[in-house]
Amino acid sequence: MGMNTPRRKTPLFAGGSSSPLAFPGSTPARNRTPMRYSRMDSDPSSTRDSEPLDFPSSPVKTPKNRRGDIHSSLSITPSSAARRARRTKLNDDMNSDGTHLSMPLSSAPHLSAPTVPSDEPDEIRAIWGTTVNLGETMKTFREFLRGFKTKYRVAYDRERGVRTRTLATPQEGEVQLYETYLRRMRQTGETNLNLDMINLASYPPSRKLHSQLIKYPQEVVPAMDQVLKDLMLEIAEEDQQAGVDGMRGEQGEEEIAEIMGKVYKIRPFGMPAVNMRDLNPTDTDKLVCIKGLVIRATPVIPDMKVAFFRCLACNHTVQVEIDRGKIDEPARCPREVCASVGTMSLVHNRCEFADRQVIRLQETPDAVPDGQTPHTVSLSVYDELVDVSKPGDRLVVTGIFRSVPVRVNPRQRTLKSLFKTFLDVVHVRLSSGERLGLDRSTRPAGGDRVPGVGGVGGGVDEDQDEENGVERERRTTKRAEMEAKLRELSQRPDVYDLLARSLAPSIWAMDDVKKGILLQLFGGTNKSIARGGGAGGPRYRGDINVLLVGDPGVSKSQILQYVHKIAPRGVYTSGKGSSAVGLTAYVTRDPDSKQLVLESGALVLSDGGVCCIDEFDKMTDATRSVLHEVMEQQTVSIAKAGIITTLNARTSILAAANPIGSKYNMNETITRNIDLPPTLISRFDLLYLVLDQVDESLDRKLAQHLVSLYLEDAPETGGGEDIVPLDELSAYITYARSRINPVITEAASDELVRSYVTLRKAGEDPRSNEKRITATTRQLESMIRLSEAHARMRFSPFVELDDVKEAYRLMREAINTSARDPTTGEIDMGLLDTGIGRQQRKLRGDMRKAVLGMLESGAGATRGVRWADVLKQLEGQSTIKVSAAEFQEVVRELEQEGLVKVVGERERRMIRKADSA
Amino acid sequence: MVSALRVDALRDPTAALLQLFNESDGGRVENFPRLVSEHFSHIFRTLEAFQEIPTLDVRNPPNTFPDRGLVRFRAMVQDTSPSSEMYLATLGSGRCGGWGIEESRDDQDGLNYEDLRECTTLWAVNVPGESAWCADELDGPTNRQERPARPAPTDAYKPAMPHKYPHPTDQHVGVQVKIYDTDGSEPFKATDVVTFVGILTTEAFGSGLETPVDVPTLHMLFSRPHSESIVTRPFPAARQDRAGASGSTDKAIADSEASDPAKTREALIAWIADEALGGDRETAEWVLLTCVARVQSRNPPLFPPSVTLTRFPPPPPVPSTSTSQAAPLPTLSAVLSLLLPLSHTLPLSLASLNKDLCAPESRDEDLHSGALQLPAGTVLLVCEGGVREGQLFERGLLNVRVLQDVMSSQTLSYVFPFSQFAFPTDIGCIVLSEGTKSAFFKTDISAALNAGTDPASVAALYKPADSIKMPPPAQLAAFRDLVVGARFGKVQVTQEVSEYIQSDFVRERQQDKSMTSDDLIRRMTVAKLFALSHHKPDLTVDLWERTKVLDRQRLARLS
Repeated sequence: MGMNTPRRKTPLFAGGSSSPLAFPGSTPARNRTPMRYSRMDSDPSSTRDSEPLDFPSSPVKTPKNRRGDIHSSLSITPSSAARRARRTKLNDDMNSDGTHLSMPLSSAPHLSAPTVPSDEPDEIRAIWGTTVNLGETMKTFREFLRGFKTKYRVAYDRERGVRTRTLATPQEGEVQLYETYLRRMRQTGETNLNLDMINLASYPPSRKLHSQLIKYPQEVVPAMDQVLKDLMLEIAEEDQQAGVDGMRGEQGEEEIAEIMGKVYKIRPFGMPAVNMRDLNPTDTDKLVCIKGLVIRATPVIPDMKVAFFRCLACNHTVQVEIDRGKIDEPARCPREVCASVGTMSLVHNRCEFADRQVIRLQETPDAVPDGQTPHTVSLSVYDELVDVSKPGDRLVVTGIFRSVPVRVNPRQRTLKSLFKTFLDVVHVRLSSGERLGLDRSTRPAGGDRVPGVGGVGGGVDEDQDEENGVERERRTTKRAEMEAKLRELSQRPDVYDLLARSLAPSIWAMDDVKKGILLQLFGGTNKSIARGGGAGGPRYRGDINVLLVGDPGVSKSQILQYVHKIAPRGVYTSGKGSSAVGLTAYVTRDPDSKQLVLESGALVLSDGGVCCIDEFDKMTDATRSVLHEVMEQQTVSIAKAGIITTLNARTSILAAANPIGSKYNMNETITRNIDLPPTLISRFDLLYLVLDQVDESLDRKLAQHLVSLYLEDAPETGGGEDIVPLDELSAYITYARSRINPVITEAASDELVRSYVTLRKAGEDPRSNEKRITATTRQLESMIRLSEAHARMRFSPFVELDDVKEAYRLMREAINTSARDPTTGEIDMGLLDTGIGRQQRKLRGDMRKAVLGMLESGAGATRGVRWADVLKQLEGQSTIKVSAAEFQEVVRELEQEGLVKVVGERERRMIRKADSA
Repeated sequence: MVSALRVDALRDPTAALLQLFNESDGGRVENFPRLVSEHFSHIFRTLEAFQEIPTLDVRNPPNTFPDRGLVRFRAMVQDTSPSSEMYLATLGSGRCGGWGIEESRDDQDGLNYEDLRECTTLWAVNVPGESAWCADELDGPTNRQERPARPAPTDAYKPAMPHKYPHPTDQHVGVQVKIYDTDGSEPFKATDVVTFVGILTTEAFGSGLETPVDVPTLHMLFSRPHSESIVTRPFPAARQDRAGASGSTDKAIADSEASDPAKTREALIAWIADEALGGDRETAEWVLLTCVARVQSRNPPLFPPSVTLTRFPPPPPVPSTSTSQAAPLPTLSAVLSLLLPLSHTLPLSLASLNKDLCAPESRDEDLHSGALQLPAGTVLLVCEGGVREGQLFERGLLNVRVLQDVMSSQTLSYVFPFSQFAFPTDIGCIVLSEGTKSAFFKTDISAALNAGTDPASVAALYKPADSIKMPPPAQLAAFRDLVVGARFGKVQVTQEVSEYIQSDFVRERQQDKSMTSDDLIRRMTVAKLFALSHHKPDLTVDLWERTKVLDRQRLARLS
């Protein structure tokens, strides 16, 4: 730890050692380092070392880069003479204390021009205990900023076998990337330059700098900051001389003056992220990169960068810089003539503060080893990085790993040999959502970008891919492998069957159900009418909803469990156990802030994923009503505790329900069999009846399957057939969902039209003029979604004929089982849409006429007719049995329409004509 | 030599540690913590030596120990989320660092960052639900422990961080454990049961944004893992072969009760039935089957079946005069703890459901424990008797769901900010319900209790633990051998039997259409347990048929 070793033989980069403006009466120990450059706070003698600093100690008032994240003790002087002159002037402008005394930075001439090759022996310019030669470093970095071209990166990437972006033109590779960035920084007034460290490694002359930066960020980063500022000025001057637009004459002078007054910062990034568990003592004070989830963040803390002390006895002032997180209060007045003990008092409003925030970063679930609970680290962020991230964000953070001694008792100066660790953050990147496995189309375009920090510059192709270099590259090799594997898989002719089989290998048969659910997992494409009214018009859902209805004990729940495991952002809930709250979102009061906050429930959590709801029929009506909104509008509205909010819940729903009376009655319609409102049922794209039928050979196979699964020692899943492992299946689906957005081809669209018309035509009955509804536009939409999902499953960019055919087949299968009218054996979507089949509607119409007829004629016209009599008469007239329930329904309808009136109770009920009463 | 080391280590572990450091030149040794762990586990490698280390437990809480005393602590790892710490392995004066060794002021000179090492911190609590007999067996005779004489502390021990114990109101011990030998062993996982041996002192806990508080801290020297069963017993029972070979006609052997698992099993069922279930042997058999069940495989899921004992009367009303007494626990609770190494009783009430945590939850980066954070192998007795009419709020609903998840998928989700982590559990559940089915839970098996409902019979179900008629010690030991042994046995199924079961299923389905694959799955699960409870390593046709009879009887009683 070179910098912290208190062996200071040479005043290395000390600024004020030969200050020409020594305060009268100051300690003549010129060759000692002034206190503000003392490196070890644990060296109690350092206070005595301190010179009576130049009064009023102005050097620190220059716009010097005092980064909270770096805590460097380096003070690097400006390099060019022309600039120095300028700076002097600037200093005079900036220093409000009006002393105009300061020129201390010029006091280390042997260091002031690092770009000038120096004959001085190396050890003087080397950073203590390191191999870093500071002048060399600055020179190299200057060369890098000046000379780096995109082509170097491309070559470097290619060398390591990383997939690279092909350059559109050879000229593109010749662009001096960082000069462009520096100009952009000048134009936008941005002061932070994000530096992709891979670029450092790819530029041959600066390769060494890459590892130096990682090992000694504390020294190298300030040097880089200095170079950056130098170059900003240089380029500005060049531009001014060249007469570039906006830089001519006065305007240029102004720009340059502005640059002079600014503090420029390099924010390096692009290291491979390590697990925070793997950070160990050897990483102390090195640059590291970790990933995690922000769980808490403190408010902004004013962090003292420079403390200003004044002696109460003689008014001598001293400025003390923060070192390793603390400030050493001078015990006595440094002026020898005064030297009174305990008179130094802090003058708050003359101190310098930085914005600081402490963030607690927790491991992301994917990084936590099995059976472990997640670890957390503290991050200190400063200045521009404050408030960039908020709790819940996933971050990739580059920073300097610190270990500071824990003081057992702050009053004592004893240390227990314990250290606490944290990261001084130099660069923050909000992680892209890709790995969350959510559907990116549900996120706003542009994604979540770090606001305000961006600086200018970054990776070669940062604009195209938010991923940073190393990470991308490391993952691309892995990803490329995976991708190749998935692509290969997708080329198999039996991929559809294979994937369907792999979905729930322990479940016997039910192939169509598995296929339907498989397509649900892939989902259709989301479409939104971009130029609609309001905020971009409505969004047409691509999510496919599936309902399974069936006898108990047909492993519906198991299927759901499987899907929950495979699906990206799958959420599993049981209808019985979940309240509307658990299923949607709720408002609670944050225990810390006492503010009302919204917390998401299952549906919102699975935004962009699949929500599996078991025991759908057991769900309360209130909860289910929420689903209406979710399933068509894909939002959840919450009105609670004075907050009305609409949250996105772009989720597919896979639900399982049991029939009423636990056993499916084949003689009844589906709406009668399940206790669900038809309006809700119709929102499912696919509805499967999973019935338990007794069949000897099937039963035998089933038993064999189960016995081998539950009793034998080496359980075989899927009967030894080849299946895709769950994680691969999951990767396949995620890949397809994120990468493939199939477009419907002409042939496919024709086929869609044809299929739809066929479905509709099936409802035409030549014998009657009344139409049964076999397909509605909802079915057409479903068919489109299913076709798209099928194409996606094949990794095909186009929806082709076969996709539509399969979609049509699945639809037919599903409709066949669910929408068949048991009385006629014909398909009738009306059953699902309204719960009433055509046959039933006809029957009711007839009954209605008959009832009204009875009231018109005879005694009924005046006194009304008795309930039981009407029923009896109808019974006599009709050829089929009239059910009392049907009759009651008809009378209720008539009553509602105001045509009849029912009086009396139970058996004595009378039906009267409404207007006659 | 070794015994001298042992005496030294017991008397002053810190001095022993420093001595080891100096002798081995610990500052330069590659991995000193490793050496420490090997050295001390070698000193205490024999059971006899190990049992000399005084135990830290509820009866001997941290305040009964001198500072930096040597203790052993059999504990459940509750929380592994505290971040690692760095410590100076070699202090400035070349002395040994770590293990909470204080640093004097002059050690601060020449702070060398290269001497920094990492130590893992975790929170451990005494094993929840551990039976007294199991604890006694593992602790060994108390008189052998070299417990330093200390004046008894004046005030009662108040555990630090009670929210980190699954049952915060129970008497318990929780300590922070610091592990220096970090790469030596597999990292400890939440709910692992481990015996930590180390130096007990007090240190600050809490790495978050809050100010740390001082808690008892154990600086681990070495540790001993425990197998899943905590205590082990053979399966099949040692003398089973002899009994099986000679057949049941051999009176000489059959006479000796303990030698025949079948006899022991009968006696055990009778004892459970008489003491805890109003004489209902059939229900007692189901209880026994649940007690021997455990998670056999997670994929495919072969979980212990959850059982509801229906028609279990609620506790008799507590006389209003006795204010202190809460509603009594069913006697079954005490019976289970006499048989099983780990069992816990969870009396449900609306108030507790709405208030307490079932699943662990991280608040302000401190993982609060939940009632279900229990070590693998625990049998949980859930009593619905205390539930009255009322409203179940958010927390209550979630708690019910969490418990249901444990029953049906054997996973417990720990709640962390913005994420949830599902941890595998192995908790067998017995639900006691007043009605014909559980009010909250869906269990795999329901069995109706057939006990009288008159006040006397009800009172018998809730009689206090001390009025249980204890079997002779040898018999009780045999009971425990049977149950614990069976828990970790394995059952084979021959080809013939598996074919028999298959055709049996097909036949039955043709006779009775209501028979589903779920029934088959349930029967197979029960048959396995049935074989285990007989200490039979093979599932035979006979056992299968008897399982079916048992299952049919159960169904008949339910309807």
